[in-house]
Amino acid sequence: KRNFAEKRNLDKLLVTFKTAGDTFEVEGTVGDSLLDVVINKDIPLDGFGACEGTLACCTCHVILQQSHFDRLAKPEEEEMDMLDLAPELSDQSRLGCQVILSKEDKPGITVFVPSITRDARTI
Amino acid sequence: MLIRRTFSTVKSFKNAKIAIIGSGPAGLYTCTGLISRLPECFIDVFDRSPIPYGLVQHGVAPDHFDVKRCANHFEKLFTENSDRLSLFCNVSIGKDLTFEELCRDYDAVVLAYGANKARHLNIPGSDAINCISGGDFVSWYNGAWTTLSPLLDDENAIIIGNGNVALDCSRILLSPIEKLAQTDIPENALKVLRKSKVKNINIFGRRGPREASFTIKELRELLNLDQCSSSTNITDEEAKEITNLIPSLERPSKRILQLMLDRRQPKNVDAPMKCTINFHHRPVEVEKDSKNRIKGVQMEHSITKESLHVPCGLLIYAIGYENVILPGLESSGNKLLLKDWCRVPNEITKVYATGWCAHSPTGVIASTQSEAVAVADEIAKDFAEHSIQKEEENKGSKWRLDDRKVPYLTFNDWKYVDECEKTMGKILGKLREKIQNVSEFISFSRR
Ligand SMILES: Cc1cc2nc3c(=O)[nH]c(=O)nc-3n(C[C@H](O)[C@H](O)[C@H](O)COP(=O)(O)OP(=O)(O)OC[C@H]3O[C@@H](n4cnc5c(N)ncnc54)[C@H](O)[C@@H]3O)c2cc1C
Ligand code: FES
Repeated sequence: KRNFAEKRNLDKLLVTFKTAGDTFEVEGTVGDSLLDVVINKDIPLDGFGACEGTLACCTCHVILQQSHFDRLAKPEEEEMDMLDLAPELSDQSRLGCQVILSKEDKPGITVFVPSITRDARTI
Repeated sequence: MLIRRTFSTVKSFKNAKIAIIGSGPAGLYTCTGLISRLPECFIDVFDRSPIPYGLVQHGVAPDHFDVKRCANHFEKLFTENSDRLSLFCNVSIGKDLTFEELCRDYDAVVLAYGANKARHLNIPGSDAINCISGGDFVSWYNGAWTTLSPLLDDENAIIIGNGNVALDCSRILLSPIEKLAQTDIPENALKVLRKSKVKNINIFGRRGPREASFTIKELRELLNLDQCSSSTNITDEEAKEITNLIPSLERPSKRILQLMLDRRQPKNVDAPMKCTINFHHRPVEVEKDSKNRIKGVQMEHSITKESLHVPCGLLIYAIGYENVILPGLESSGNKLLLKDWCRVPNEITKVYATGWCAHSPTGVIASTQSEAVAVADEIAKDFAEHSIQKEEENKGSKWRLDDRKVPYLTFNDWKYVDECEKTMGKILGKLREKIQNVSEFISFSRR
C-alpha cells in the first residue's frame, strides 16, 4: 500500500498556467495531457479544449518554454495544420491536448495560454 | 489544489440583466465569459431558429463531428447555470421582439446573430435549375429547413469559390457513402447522395493560390480523399513564383502553399473520382438547356481574359456570406456601425457586437471564441466602471413573449429534441438523425 502511495507521489508535478492576467498553479500527473489537467482541475480558461482533444480546433493552444518544447517529440502534421490557425502562433507553440506530462517535467513546468490574451481589436 | 492568484470578477454589480441575440459560438462563448466574470448577472439568450448553436448545427459539415463537440460545452453551460441563464429559441428579433424593446428591458444587449445569408451569384443564366448557393447546399446536407433537393444525376459538377465552404461541399459529394452514413447527415440527403453520379468536380477560384481562403486542414482532407484523385491546377510559371516567395512567408502560409505545390500531381491517379482545384477563373455565364437546367458554364481567366467552356449538370457557388443589419440598427457601408471594435452606439442601454455579425463573416470557431471572450471582458469592465443606477430593476423580455403568445422553445425543449435525435440515430447506426421540423415536433409532443 505504501509503495503505491509513494509511486503515486512520484508521478506528480507542478503545472503553472499563465495567461495575460492570471496564474494558476495546479498538480498534474505524469501521463496526463495539459488538456486533462485543465479539465480535471477546473481551471477557468474560457473555451479551452473546444473539440475535447480530437485535433479539430486550436483552442488548446499553449506556448511552452524552449527546454520543455525541445524534449518533446515534434508535432505531427495534423497538429501543425491546426496550429496554423492559432492566434499568436510562436515557434514554441503546441496544442495542449497533445502535450503529455512526463517524468522529465518534474518538479514543474510553466505554460503560457495565449488565446485568452489575444486582443480582438486587431480583427 | 487550485491557487487562484488573480482573477478578474466583478462582484459589485448586482442583478445585471443581459440579452444575447444569437446562440451560435459568438453568443454562447460571450455567455461563458460573462457567467464567470459577472457572477450575479442574469442572461437571456434569443435565437430565431427552433434549436440552439447556430452554424455548429447548420454550417459545420456532418463529417466534421469533432468540431461540433463544442456543443458539449454549451450544454454544460446551460445545465450548470439554469438559475440565471435562459434560452428562448424560435424567437426572431425584429419580428417577435424588437431590438428597441430589448434595449429597454436589459442592462446590456449583445448582438451575436451571425451572417447567415449566402451571397448571390449575379451572372446571366444563374437562375438555372441546379445552379445553387453553397449556403443552400450546406443547409440541405445539414438538415436545416430548405426546399432544395439538388439533382446529382450528371458526372460533372462545378464549385465556385476558394474557401472552406467550397471544399466542404466538394468533400461531401466525393466522400465514401459508408463514411457519411455514420455521421448526423439526414437520411433524405443520404438517399440522394447514395444515387449520386457526380464523379468529376472542378473547383474554381477567382484569384490565385496565395489569396485562397481555405485552411490547410480542409485542403489536406480533400487532397487525401479515398477513391478520388485530387490535385491543384497551378501553372509552371506560377509554381516557380510561389517557390521563390515561400522562404519569406510566415509558417502557416508557407505550409499551405507548399502543400498546393506538392499536389499539382494527384496521389492516386487511378481513383474512380476526380477533383481539381483551379485558380484565376471567374464564371461569366451559365448555359441552360431547353428545360432551364444548367448544362455548362462559361469561365474567364481573370488575368489573360481567355475564356473556357466547362460542361456540368450542377453548379454550387460558395462565394461567401453577407452581413445582415437587424432592424433598428445603423449600418455603415453594408456593415454594422460600431463605436470601436465591439461597442454599438445606443442611447438606451449598453450594446455590443461579436462574431460574424460584427465584422466580415469569416473565421473559424476558435477565432470566434477568442473574440467573444475578449468582448465579455470589455462588458465586465464597463459594468465595473459605471454600474447603472436605475430606479427600478430591468425585468427582461420574457413577459412580452408570454403576452404575445410567441411559441418560444426552451433549453429543456432542445434537450428533448436532442435525446430523440440521438435515439433515432442509434437505431439507424449513426450519430443522430436530425428532426427537421422541430416546432411542429415539439407542439405535437406537448399535446
Ligand atoms: C458552411 C460552414 C462550415 C463551417 N465549418 C467550420 C468548421 O468545420 N470548423 C470551424 O471551426 N468553423 C467552421 N465554420 C465557421 C463557424 O461556423 C463560425 O466561425 C461561427 O459559427 C460564427 O459564430 P456566430 O455565433 O457569429 O454565428 P452563427 O453560428 O451563425 O450564429 C448566429 C445565430 O444567430 C441567430 N440569429 C440570426 N438572426 C437572428 C434574429 N434576427 N433573431 C434571433 N436570432 C438570430 C441564428 O439563428 C444563429 O443561431 C463554418 C461556417 C460555415 C458557414
Ligand atoms: S482541444 Fe481541440 S485541438 Fe486540442
